Amino acid sequence: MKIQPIIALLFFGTAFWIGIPVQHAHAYDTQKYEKINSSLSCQCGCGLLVSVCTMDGCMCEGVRKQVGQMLDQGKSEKEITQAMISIYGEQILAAPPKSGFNLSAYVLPFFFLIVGGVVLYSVVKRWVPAIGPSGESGADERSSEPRKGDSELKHRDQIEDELKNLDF
Amino acid sequence: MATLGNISLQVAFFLAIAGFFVAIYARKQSREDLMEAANRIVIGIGILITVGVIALLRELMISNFQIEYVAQYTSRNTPWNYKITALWAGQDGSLLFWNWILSIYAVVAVVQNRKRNLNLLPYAIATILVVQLFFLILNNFIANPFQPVPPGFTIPDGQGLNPQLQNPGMMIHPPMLYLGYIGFTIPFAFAMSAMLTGKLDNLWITSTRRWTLFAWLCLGIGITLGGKWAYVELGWGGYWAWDPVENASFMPWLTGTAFLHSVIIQEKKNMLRVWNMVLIMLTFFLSIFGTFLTRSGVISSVHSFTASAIGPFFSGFLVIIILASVTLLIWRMDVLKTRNQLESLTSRESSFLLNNLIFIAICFSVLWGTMFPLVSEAVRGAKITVGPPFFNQVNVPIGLLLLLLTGVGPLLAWRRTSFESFKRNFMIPIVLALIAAPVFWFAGVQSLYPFVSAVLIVFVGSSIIQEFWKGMTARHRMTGENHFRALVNMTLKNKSRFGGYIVHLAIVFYFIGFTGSAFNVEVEKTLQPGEEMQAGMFSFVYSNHQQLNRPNHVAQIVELEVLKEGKPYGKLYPEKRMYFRSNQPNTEVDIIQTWREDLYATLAGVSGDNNAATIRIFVNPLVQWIWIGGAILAFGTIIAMLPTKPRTIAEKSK
Repeated sequence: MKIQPIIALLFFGTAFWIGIPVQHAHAYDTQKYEKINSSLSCQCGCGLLVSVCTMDGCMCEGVRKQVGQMLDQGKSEKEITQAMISIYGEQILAAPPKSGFNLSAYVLPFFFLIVGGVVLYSVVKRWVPAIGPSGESGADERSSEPRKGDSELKHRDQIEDELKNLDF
Repeated sequence: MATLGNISLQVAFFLAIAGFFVAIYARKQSREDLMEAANRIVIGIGILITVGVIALLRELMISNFQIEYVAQYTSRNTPWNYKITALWAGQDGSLLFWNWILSIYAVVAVVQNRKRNLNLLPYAIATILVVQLFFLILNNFIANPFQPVPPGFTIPDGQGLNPQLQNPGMMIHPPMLYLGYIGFTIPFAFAMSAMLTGKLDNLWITSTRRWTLFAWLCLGIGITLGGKWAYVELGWGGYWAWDPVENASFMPWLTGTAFLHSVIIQEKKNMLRVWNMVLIMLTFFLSIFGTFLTRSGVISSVHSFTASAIGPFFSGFLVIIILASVTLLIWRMDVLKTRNQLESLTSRESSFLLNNLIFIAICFSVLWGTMFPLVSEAVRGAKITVGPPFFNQVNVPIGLLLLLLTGVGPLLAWRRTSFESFKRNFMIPIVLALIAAPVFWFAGVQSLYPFVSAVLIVFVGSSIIQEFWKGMTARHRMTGENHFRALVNMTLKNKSRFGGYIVHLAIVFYFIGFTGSAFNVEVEKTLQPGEEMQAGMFSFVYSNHQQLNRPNHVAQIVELEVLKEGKPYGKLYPEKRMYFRSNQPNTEVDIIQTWREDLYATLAGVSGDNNAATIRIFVNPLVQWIWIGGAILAFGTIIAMLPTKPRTIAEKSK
């Protein structure tokens, strides 16, 4: 088990290193401006957000200007969004508002996942008692409890067993 | 040459009809001579479609603008390599290209199976020929790439290829996607054949395992290359926009991944036979559906081909696929059903089932989000947009669940995981994740999803490395091989398993890149020469400007000196190009790429006598990890695809 400290060091280092770039992550002076533009969708057909669309002569340039002007006028995020909807229609929003029928867009995938999970659980639970503890060939020794004091040997056997049997 | 191309496609059309009936009759009558005839018809169609492709390529290369397609997608000054890519740049050519790849696949499948798989091959051929026939109908009657310009018209020069498609990535990305989409036709065809013949054991799965892996690999690489192309070409600083066409390529990849996991259970335990049929049917359906989305004009996308009349044909074909495959499935349901048995809820088998559920849930959410604008318009009459904020909100938590399972699954034992085994396998990854969590937190990763993702990356990464380490040390102790040789031999002895783990490692790399995107910095500013702007810890000094006249465009180029904490770091040269032929402006980004972050510069424009330049800078952390992840994914899948030497009885009895 000498390797554990090395792995720990390796991953501790990796974890620390991955964290480094975020030291300069909060650079936006106009976070609100970017947030609003990131919630609006370009209508030129590029499919991008207003905040990132770089198409020449695109309506996004005008939208960004309008957002900036409204922020200068002291309007709130909600007011600006409403103003944008009244100018360009609901499709200017990059995501449907979470109300009414649109709510189904957000709810249905999670509903699907949860119902699927419940069905899967009940199906698998029904399958489990259908077989006794004696298995078929190719069984993994991990399935039986190891003898105490013999874990390393057991471990090695188990790996080798898997190496032999799990190649498909 | 155009006439020859036309004739070859017409003959191929009639041969496909003939081949379909010959293959079915050969199987019904058990006539080997007719079976051989069907095989030869498939090879003949392959040759004819190849002639068609060569004919179109020749017209593209010699700039025969009397052919509409050539005039639309090339011009005299289009470089020769992009004249080749024009083959798949437009609707008509890309349909021919699609059919050409399918015809090559069909020939390979025939050569591979004509001796060893006589039972399944005839109906598999018939299925493939139906798909080929559909595309031949399109190419012959709806979208003919050899269509001449109207009589009396002389076109001196073509429109040229869209500048955004004049990128080396475009030479590989679409063919890879096509190889992926079309590749799923072969396992689908063998699945249909298994149902038609009633040979519903594992033969159709083992016969097509490498086909499935190859298609899955090509689709995965195609998607990654598409991201890379969008990143370097479109100039918005990102690689994935949840565009409908991107989504269309992602969906069959998801169901294909579920299928690759699920068939392992069938191979090992003879379970999930119905489910595997459903998955391959779904994957093939989604492949065609993706093509339909790109070409029908149903949903607007930057990737779409020009809207044409082929939408209804695709809709009809999709209905035929669904009706035929569902009817067969219901017909064979009783035979397909097996007695499903599991020993424990906490087993590798259960984790595979759960991963299938998650893959399907993500696929559903992507499909639902992609189609929701149409649903909303039908229900409420209001047009809405479903863009990245929606997809991120819905898919990120489910994706993180999948990442967790990527780490948990391989640590669970087949059949049953004892508490001792659980403790032994999970201890190190959990401890490392727990150590990493506060490190990330104090380093500033304090938003929920990036934080969870970072911790899971450590957990999953360490669990994969642990699996390799355990196997390697065990082999080293048993055989005396040095560690490196033990690692290589262990991997080669268990290609599917360790190839799969390498692919899991690739997924970790992808997630590192995705997590980095939570910390992107973006700044736009108009600078006079000599002025500077700040983005993150970097300064960008506008040091020079020049205008260059190149063969097919004029380019405005600015030079940016990059300083990191005051010290020189590099130079960036973003461009703004104006193409003569199409009169289209195009942004050419410049990127300084490192494994820590990308410094990404675009030039919105240069104006005025003083050359004021509007520059947008993105500091994108960890993007390189995604491209490295793509390479690792390819490596792992290739390992898993390598042929395995069958074990001898003596080896098995050891």
